[in-house]
Amino acid sequence: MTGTQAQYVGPWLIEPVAGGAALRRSDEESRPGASGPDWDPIDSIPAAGDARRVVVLGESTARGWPFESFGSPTSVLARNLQSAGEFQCIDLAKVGADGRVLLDLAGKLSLLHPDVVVSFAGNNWMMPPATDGRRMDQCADDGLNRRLADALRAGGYRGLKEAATAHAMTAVRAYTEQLVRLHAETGATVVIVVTEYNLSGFAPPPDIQTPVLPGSDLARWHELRRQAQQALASGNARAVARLAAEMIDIDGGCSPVPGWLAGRAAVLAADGRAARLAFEQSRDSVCGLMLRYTPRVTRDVQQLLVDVAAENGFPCVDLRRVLADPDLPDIPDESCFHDYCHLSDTGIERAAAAITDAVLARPAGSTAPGPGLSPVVRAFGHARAAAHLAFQAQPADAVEAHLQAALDLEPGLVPLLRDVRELLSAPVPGWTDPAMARLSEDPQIQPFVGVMTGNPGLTPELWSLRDCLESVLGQSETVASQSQVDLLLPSDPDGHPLPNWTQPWAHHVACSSESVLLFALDGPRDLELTIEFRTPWADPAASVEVGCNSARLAGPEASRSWSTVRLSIAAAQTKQGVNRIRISWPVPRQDTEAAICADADALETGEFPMIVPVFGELYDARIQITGMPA
Amino acid sequence: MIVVGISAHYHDAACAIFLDGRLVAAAQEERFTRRRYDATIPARALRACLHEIGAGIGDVEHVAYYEDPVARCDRILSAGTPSAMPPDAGRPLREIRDRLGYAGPVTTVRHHEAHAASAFYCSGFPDAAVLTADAVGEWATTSYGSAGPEGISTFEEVRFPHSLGLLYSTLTAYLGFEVNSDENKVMGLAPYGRPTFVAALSELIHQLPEGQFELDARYFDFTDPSRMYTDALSDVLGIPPRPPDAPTEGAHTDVARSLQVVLEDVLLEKARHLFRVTGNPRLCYAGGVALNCVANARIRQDGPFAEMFVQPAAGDAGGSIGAAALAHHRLTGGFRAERLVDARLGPSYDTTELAHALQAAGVPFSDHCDDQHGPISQTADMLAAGAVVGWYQGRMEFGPRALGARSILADPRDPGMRDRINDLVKKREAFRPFAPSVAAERTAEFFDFHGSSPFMLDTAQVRRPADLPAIAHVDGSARLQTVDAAVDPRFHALLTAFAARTGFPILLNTSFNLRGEPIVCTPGDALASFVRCGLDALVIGNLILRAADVPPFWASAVDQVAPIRPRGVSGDIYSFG
Repeated sequence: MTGTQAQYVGPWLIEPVAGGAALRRSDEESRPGASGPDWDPIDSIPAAGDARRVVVLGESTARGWPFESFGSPTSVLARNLQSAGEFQCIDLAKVGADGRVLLDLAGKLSLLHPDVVVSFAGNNWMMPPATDGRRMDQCADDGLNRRLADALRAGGYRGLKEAATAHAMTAVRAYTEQLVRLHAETGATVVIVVTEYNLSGFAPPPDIQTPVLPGSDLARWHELRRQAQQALASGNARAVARLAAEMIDIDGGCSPVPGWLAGRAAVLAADGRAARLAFEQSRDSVCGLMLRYTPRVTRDVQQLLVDVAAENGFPCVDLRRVLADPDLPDIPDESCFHDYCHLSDTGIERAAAAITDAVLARPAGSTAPGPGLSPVVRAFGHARAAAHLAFQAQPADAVEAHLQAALDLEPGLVPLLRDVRELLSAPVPGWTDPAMARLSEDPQIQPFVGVMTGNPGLTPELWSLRDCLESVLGQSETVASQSQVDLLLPSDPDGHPLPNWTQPWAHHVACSSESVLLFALDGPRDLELTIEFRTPWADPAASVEVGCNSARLAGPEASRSWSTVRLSIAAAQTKQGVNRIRISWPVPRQDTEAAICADADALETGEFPMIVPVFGELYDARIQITGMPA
Repeated sequence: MIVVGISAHYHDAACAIFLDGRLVAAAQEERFTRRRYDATIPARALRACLHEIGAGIGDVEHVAYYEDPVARCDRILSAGTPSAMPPDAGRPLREIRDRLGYAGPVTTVRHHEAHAASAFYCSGFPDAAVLTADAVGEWATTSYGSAGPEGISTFEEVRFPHSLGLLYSTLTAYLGFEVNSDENKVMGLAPYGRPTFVAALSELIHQLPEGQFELDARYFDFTDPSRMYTDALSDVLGIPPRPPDAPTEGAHTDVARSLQVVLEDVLLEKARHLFRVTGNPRLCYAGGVALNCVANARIRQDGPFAEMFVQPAAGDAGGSIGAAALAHHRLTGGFRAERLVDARLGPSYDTTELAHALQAAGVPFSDHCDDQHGPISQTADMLAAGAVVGWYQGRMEFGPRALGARSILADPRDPGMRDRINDLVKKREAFRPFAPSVAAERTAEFFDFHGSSPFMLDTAQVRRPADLPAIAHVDGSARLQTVDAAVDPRFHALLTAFAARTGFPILLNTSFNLRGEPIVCTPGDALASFVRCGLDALVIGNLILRAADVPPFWASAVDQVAPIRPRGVSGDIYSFG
């Protein structure tokens, strides 16, 4: 390469050789995004020679996370293509690839001399920048914070959402333009894969409900939500749809809740079209709001990809159809998903089969999906899905179902899952526990042990995982090692994360209507609970409901200044294992204009906005164990 | 009445709590976030301190912030100094409201007033002359005043950019060390050198009449985000800047020595000026420059004052004490003239859960829960046998020094001990000295010192340096802590027990942390640091754990789950706010 600038694509150095371009993994770790385990770990790729080169571009779903080492979409595609001729498949997908990475890769594709490019991307365009504890003005495009501040002032939270998503869409367009240019310049076939979301199988997180809403609207919204939940429970899909529509009128389409309720109701009514529309509305509602949501493709992104394919004659693999539920084809089959957007081995096989057809220009359905992974690997995938779903605050029954599926497929996973349970139950510091040593020896588990043991407190999600593990495996030998338990021990070194992008807080801020604090006991105990709380925006006549597990404890009056209450909890209201203190907050009547103004000011100065209302705050919450085991 | 003082947004953020006029708790935020010198609003520190005194945020009646944020923004914008974030005068109040959760009245106290008050209200003096010297706060860098029943009054200030703190920090950076933290390394390097650069350094700072002095602008650039000096500094010194981690050579030690001489000369001159104006024989001294214990000793020995007091967190962290104390005085009209004798103002932690963790791990340890003397006796035995011991007891110290609550202790008689701890345990420069803690009543037997130095902010000559090679600096001095049995009976008992075995009531005492991390806060931090440091034993409350019993996987486990976090502020330039 003497005398010429070295050319890189991802972590690989491109080496022009006879027969095309070879790739060699670069040792130059300093290039941003070039290192780490997020790329295909392959060291070198020879020139394609006479083979047709197929390059797969995308994010974690395209990479096959978390099944990368067992059967990624690219490796399955390569297997499928083996019988059709000579193909060389290159996996250029990267876990966590954002718009910047994808644009960079798309711009360099011609250096690889591809015959076919498979664009398997779409889930990360609406994701926040990697904040890494930085301020917004340090991690967003130049001046974006000020433009978003203007949009927020002019159009409220819906205005902010629209401005932020419109900004993201410009990057998607730029990416597709690169693909069109590549096709025009090289003649490479471009296959567009339209990604899909686990619409019915992934619930919105409970701590994201609505942005700050004006006046009594929030109270009305919550009343409608209560009614919609009741209607859903009674199977009245039409009522749910009507109530959800009314909620959306109030929240401006900025809440994932009404769509989710309406979608579930439509599924019960076997109305697939309505279900899709509702679930999509739920999925897309949070995009652009600077909240902590999972990666997802939106309807706008999907439509843009379809349009680009149609306009340019590109083969299009629309996973909305490929992954469709056989019983309700408008929505995807939940079994195709590992979590929210990542695919199970079933999903990977179906997607790869459809891509194979597109690459070979065969009619859809010509290639049959393979059988998928071995039971052992699939079991491990279920176990990992359980952990991942728990970590994403999914309902316990979904987590337990994956755990049970894992054990049904491979009973040999019991020791590993027991170790996880023991690590989550271990006295602090958890890294001293012998289970830590055993789990660290497993390279599949090792990356996660830090999350489980690195902090004094567990996240609510890890508490949930522990609870689910105990449901499936039995109780761990919980030690009530302290007479007093701080229920607000932070699960993050910097404090308690909020559902927005602001830095964690030292005390607990409830941005939804219920706070759940968890602790473990070695058996039923008499307890005293002390909480210092305030409800800065609540009606003073309202009350705060406090309960332990299923028992109501008290309903202290709402208080705009800090108030301390001490409550006795009888042993009969507690249990061995994980216990829950539930605090239901009254609906706040926050000054919306002031909140928008404060959030716009925050954006203007380069900080992240709050977005969500504050229902209540806990400065302190402690359990004193007063009684011996019953 | 609970009054909380807050310092934040430069470096070393902290809170202090006054209960009915008495300082009852104080802590730095870095200990909780584990980011050294963390400048963020001390929300976690305040929560811990309030819990320590059995109070909640609702019990706080007043908050005092240690600086006028409008004046600070004015200075940042006018001077064009680099800023980690855009100047925002509303930030302190906003974060006090939101992040601390405090909704009551808030007052601001000027930065140097807060420094002055921190020294005066902890001194126990009925009145005093007050000197403050640091890098910068609002516009002031040095202030002269008096304190008494009427509060704090300032009669003269030196204003930015003319600053003793910035002079010292600039040379710290020039010598290849990190600003905002390594100024003490330069002080430690000084005794190795000769004052051959005094004339050159005198070009940098010009003494002016009364309390004034000025830095020569040709040598400094405080607007550069990457360095604080100009090329002219290399010209006047005749040596290039030392790259970080390059060997320290003779010229570097000579610059350090000369800088120390220049600093001391200026301080001494200005202290005399202060005495001439106030006529008060008692000096209260604070600000980051007051952490230079060598200069403090010079002021004490050669200065005009009969008595002198420096509080343990003389830098910006201590501004929280001053802000709260001054606010309390102003609100109530009174103050307690009580000397602060104990810096253990932070939270304490139950060690029961750690014992359970050790049991669960099957790690042998001794638990002397029913025998208060057992740990002291065993620890003294280990120390006398040459062990390096992590000593974690009770409430955490406030300020940069470990004073027997979060300390690493060792035998000061061992000539190889300093190198062992520097090389293996703390992974720091070989030239850096270690400090001794001595049973107060026997101080004069071993040191040329007759007062009390509970906060390790004074130096004295070691009478027989050869007997105590691990704590005697190259010039025979030591930065000593005197330990009073009435103040810290447990640590005093350990010193006494060590004396019973060795004849020396003295221990090498250094902070319980690894290079780059804050001093340990919780038992979990202590265990992690113990594993990382390679100490021989950990005494934590009444538990004793020996390194030989530590499972091998802990070393990798602790690095995996609790890596040392990056520091909270820049190391290249001073954190101007």
